[in-house]
Amino acid sequence: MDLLIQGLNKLLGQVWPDWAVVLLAMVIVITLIFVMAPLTFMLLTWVLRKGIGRFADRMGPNRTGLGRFNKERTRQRWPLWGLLQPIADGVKMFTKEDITPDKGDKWLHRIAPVAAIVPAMLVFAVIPFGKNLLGVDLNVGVVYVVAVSSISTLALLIAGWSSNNKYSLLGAMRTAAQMVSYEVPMALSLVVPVLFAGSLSLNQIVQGQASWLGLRWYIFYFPLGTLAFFTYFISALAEVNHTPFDLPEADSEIVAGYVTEYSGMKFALFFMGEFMNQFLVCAFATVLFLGGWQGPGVQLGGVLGYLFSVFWFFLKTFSLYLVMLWIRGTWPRLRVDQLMNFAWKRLVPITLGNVLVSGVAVIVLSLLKK
Amino acid sequence: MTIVVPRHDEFQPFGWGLVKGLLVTASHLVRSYFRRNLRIPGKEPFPGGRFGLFTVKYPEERAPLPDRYRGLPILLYEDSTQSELCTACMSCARACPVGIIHIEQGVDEVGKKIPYAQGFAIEYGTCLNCGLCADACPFGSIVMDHVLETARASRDELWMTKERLLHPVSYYREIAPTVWAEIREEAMKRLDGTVKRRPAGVGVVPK
Repeated sequence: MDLLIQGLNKLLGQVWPDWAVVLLAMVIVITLIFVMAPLTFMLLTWVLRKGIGRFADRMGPNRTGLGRFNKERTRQRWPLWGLLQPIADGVKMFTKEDITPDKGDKWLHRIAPVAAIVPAMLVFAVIPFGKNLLGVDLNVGVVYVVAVSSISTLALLIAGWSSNNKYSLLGAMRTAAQMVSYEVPMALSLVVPVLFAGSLSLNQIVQGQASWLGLRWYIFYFPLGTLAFFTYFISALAEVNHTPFDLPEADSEIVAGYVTEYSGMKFALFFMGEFMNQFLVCAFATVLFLGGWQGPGVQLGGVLGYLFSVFWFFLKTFSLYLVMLWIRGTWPRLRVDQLMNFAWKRLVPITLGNVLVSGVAVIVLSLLKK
Repeated sequence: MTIVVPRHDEFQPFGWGLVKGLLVTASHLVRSYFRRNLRIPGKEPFPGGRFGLFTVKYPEERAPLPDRYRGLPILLYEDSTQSELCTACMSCARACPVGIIHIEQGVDEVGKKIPYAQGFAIEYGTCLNCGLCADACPFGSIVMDHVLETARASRDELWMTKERLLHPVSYYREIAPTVWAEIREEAMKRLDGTVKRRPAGVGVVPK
């Protein structure tokens, strides 16, 4: 943001008043976030369908391409590996009928999809996507992310309640129970990298992993950082309703959970929120444990260093997303009691102990350095 | 003899079972980029074992069909003499469980019946693809086609008359060689007899 303001000042030649430049910078950043979020959503749906297909010995979407068809109308000039599938999906979603349940709470039913994507969009603002490339450098970034991302639970509860459908309500109740349980180990495992970095600012945390050619990631702080990464990733999977914790929308048990009564673009908005949350979970894990945008080459000056930093960030994030896909293509769903047992009897004690030991270790190491 | 089925339900400590599951799916992912695994009729069901792509890009790629695949019934005629195998014996019409085969027997000038189907029609829209007509035919004349795309623009087009039902023997030999090898000798022998009992020029498909 500051960087952008400086750049704009240079570009516009110091003619504009300060407030106008700040406003312009804000508009640019907000537009970027609002464009990037749906784009990541579209890309992720494509990656998901291709990836899950390959895990199941199928091909995934491969029919949406560019260019002319051949004479038999079976193949296009450039099939593009089905990369335009999300656009076809979007057109389909827009043309579908939008149904609101007759006996449901109509206003809440309308608000819920919006409430589901707004928190995800808000989190985009503080994630450092590259060297100094972030919307806002909050000094309490970690707290902000945890706080904002838990708002989406409310949206799912609203959706379940307003649909006036037993499956929706069951799904929403499951969501609430699950999210409240897993928020605890997730927040506790985030404490560990914060202790290592000595800061809550996401940019500071990334800077803290800069040494060893940008490879001194907190996941390599064995065993504390490694353990924290795994506990974070597991509870984050539960936070975004991902397999093996996808009980809120377990289609074999409760139809589609809280989205049962949604159709058309409202349904798509829920999925947009979900996919963006999945992406953000991966991005957040990258920032906290995998060095964020750090990597070989980011120390270079000029545009090259920025490009390298963005490249490393997205490489790490998408690798983590592929791991999520891998899990989704493999593991079955947990039972409700197993889910709760795992959160409260396993993860919470482990993370609490981890925080304790990490705190002691950080203090001891700092004393030793003196 | 006792067959012991491995259940793989032994205790897997420390999530080792989960890791093994992940490795299985990962190998499926990797091998799906290098290997196709299609059923080939007459060979073992899946030549590549459990791995490799099982799907085909349908319109431009087609998985081979087994010889005995039952599509819709067609009529055959001999290639060299162009003579129809059908003698209008009504076996197929009687065998058809839904009664969609309609045959009109041919007659000569004096009104005597001859072994030749003047008219022959099958209502494709009602066909069950059961193949009983092909089983009942003593002349090897009515056989099951291998065409998958049977959609038509109108209902009338599903009324398949003789001209559209007739296919050369060479066509069927190509799509179902083993089935044709079984019925060929009998069919050809009977065709010779049929041709002798027909007046000249009757039952010959115009080129």
